[in-house]
Amino acid sequence: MKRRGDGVALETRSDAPAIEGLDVDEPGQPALETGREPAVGSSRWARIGGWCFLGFVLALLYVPLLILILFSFNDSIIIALPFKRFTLEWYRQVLADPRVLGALGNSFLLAATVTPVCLVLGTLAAVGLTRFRFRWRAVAAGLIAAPLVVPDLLIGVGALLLFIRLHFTLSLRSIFLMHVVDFFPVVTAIVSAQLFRFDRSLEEAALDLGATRREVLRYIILPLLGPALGASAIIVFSWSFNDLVVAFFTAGFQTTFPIWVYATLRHAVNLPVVNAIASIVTLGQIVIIYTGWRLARRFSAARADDRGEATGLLTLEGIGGGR
Amino acid sequence: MSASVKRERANRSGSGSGWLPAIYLAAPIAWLVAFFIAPMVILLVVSFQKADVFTGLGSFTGWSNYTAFFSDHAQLRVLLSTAIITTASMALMLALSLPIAYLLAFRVGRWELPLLLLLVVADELNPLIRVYAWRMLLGRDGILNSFFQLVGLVQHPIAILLFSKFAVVLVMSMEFLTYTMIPIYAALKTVDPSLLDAANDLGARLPVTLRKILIPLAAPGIFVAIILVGIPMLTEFVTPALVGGTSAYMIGNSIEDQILESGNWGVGAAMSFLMLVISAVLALVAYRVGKLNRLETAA
Amino acid sequence: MSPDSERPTPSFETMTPCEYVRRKRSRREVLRSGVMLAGALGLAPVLEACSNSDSSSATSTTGASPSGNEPLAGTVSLLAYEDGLTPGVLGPFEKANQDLKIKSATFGADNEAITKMQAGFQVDLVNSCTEDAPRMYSLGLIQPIDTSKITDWNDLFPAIKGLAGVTVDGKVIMIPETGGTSGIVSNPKDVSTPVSSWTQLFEDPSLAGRVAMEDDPLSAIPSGAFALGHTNPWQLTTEDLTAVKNYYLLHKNQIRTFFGGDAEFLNLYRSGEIIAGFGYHDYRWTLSQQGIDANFVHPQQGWLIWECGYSIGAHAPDPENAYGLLNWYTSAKPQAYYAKSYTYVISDQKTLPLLNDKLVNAIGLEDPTSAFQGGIPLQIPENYPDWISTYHDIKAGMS
Repeated sequence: MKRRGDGVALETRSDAPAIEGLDVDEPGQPALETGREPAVGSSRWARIGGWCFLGFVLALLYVPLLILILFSFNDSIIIALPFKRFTLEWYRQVLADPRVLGALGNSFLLAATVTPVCLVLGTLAAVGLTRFRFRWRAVAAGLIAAPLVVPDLLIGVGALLLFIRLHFTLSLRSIFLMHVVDFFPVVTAIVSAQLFRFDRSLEEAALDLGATRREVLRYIILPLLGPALGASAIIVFSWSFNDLVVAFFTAGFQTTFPIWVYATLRHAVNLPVVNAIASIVTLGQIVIIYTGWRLARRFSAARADDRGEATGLLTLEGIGGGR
Repeated sequence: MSASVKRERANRSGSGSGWLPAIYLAAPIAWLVAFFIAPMVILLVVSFQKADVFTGLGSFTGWSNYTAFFSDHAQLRVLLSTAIITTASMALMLALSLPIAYLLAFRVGRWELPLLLLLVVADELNPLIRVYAWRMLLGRDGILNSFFQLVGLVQHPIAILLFSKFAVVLVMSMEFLTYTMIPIYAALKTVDPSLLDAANDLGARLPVTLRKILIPLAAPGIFVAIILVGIPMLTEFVTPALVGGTSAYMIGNSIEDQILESGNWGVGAAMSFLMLVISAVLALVAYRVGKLNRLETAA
Repeated sequence: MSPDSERPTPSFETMTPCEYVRRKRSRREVLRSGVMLAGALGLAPVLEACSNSDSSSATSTTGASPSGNEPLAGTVSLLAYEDGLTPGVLGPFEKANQDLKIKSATFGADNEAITKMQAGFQVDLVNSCTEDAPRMYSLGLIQPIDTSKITDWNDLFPAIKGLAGVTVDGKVIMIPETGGTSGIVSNPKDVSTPVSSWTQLFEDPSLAGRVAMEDDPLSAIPSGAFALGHTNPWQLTTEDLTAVKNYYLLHKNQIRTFFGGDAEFLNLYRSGEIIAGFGYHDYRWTLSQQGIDANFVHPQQGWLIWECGYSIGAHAPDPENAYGLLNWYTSAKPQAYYAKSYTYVISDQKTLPLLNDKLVNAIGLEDPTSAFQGGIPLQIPENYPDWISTYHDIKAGMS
């Protein structure tokens, strides 16, 4: 298994320089076996305290969800204890409502189209910002980071005014355009962070060995960006799916799921249908993420098995060997 | 300003890199200009116009929308209230996130990834629904109050659990906790555990290690968290509206009211821009203080 | 393994569509940024084609053509409150007009609709109420209605047709459909006698922290004004408004929260968060349907009347279909639905035969003037911007 920060333990080939401090982070590598655990404060009480604390925080985060699911089965419009009777009525109602299903479908479609575009734009921007020095880099970086800092309300209202002036019909298209611009900076941030931690000497070695910049991008940078891209994809998908404010202003006649929830919470009499559909959606999202995680593990495990420890090194060898 | 700068950048080379950066940055920047800069410009223009419920958007009125904000004591109080609530939430989140990040980065061994996943997944639930779920927990006849009364902790329901500043701080913290934790965790992951081993060998106890090693190294993460979470919280309006009752009217609510309820596009836009400036300044300060420029680039 | 297949890519057959869309991009795709960009914008039509527009399905059983005319075709767009879109109402209409596609969007309050329309949102039919219709007309958002195209126009209660706001400068700008009143709702379990005055609502210590008011200056300020003894809430001077604001701030501990929407009030009431508050007459009915008691009182100090209906958008894309849908709303069956479900005061006299006498009496439909007797119709006062800033100050000052 890899050891972090312990460069000398890596296998090196005689014709390739030893790479110090290779910092290759891949998902699914258990930290336990690497000896990461420092000796500081490892008393039993501290351990128990630590786990209790984690449990407490997880409880804080998950109890609302559990309550939600619990009351989606409660045969009462009032969301309060005591629990009355078990019923599937709310699920029946919500699944039969074409508006909800339409809204869900729209949100899903939207998020699914926004995510890849964000990944592309975000990665391009990240590479452009971190790999080159040029005069206006700070300005460009600030500009790209700006949507993360500007309130959604502003973005939504401004977008509405813009589309109107352009006579651009409000629809999922308009939401799509705004979601992309609002979310790709987070891809840039995450990918930049990974690019930054990534050791340049690997790139430089590749260049020394005669790889073009394109090949460096293709064979070294992009594969190692895997986790960053995966994490960004999850975040962007989730943000796009759950966004209320921007969608609220730029939506036309196609509702998204959060807009439907907002309207229903304010005006529907049968609130537990929101519980029902929320439970379904959340479980769906959890399944998606879990699947994504397993896939990522499988790929990275496969890579590690095939290549031994230093993924980059073998790629390097491949390039060098292939010439 | 930006338009000519961008044209320049596209046309000529930066120092030593050719115009390669432009190829990478062209698409993102173009999209930004079209769908981010343009709306902001329009909004800026609107902030100088008069508008009201009867006539819609009207003539230009100079800085009066901005001065109206500063001379309105009620608004300034709201701004102060917002700052207090946001700071309290940020503090709570940091207090929770630092230990979690530390535990995850160093302590939990093979549970690191599953726990991380659990924390991320907790965030998947639609924020609106999460807030609504918290209302169920915090209400007078809610789960918590029922439980407290059941075990005899209190005789009467604790009213202040819901529709109060406390509720807003708590619920907002829960909403943003994961995103506060992740940058700090990422920062701590770059720390070589042998550093901590060395500290321990040299006789340092936990508090000292914390102060002298972990917090400084986690600092970039903390500042990223402040930028990513603290600043958007300033203009949050959904949570205060749902769980704040009458006690937590934040600047985001004020802006939303101006635009949606009152038709005061001009004033709403002006207030938005003020918040934008404040956010930008805070972000810049956080960026500088946290030395986040070290996170980007090339040596 | 050679660099070219650095990871075993899942094959297209085994990926779920979701995974396919979210798959990690190969370097080829990333480098074709220009093509991707163009493709992305080209995706937009895909979004348009594949997306689902809001439309209710035909769930009701009656298939009779609603207005006796031949079926409509094309599209009609609608901007309405949630309850305007219930399948029970739109269902039969859709069934009778299978070739008509109804596009709908909802809003929670008139102001949201006005905001979106001001920003240019084009729509055929929009839900409007008597206090806002004149404003929407003066802002150029709605157009006059040709009442000769409204089948049941002459069957509408004259008292309702004559409400202020239905007609402006001799032109009819909205067709009233449903109406009601507001007052004070209180919980018999917690208060022995129903709360019957605004003064009591604001000042009674036994209600402290258990009162909800509606989040709307048009309900909040008159309530305070009534408590202070004003009889005409639409003639408040700036000093009066300041007095109302101070009154609210003085009694701020009385109010638990400002609710936005019926569902919120009902939930607050049912879950015991509040025991009294500003409410609409249909709340009592809705709660009783759920087996919960509620008192509803028109305070002597003053109470308000609301009347809502539909207007036609100024730049309506499909005016003919707009009239078709408008005629549906202004006909017996949908109105009977509203009367039975909410006890709304409906406007079409042709509905009466469909309702049983008890309901007619309960609502006061034999003579709508009796239902509205003594109430004050909602309207937008001339100094409305002052109202808005006062209300703003109230909310800011209370926190």
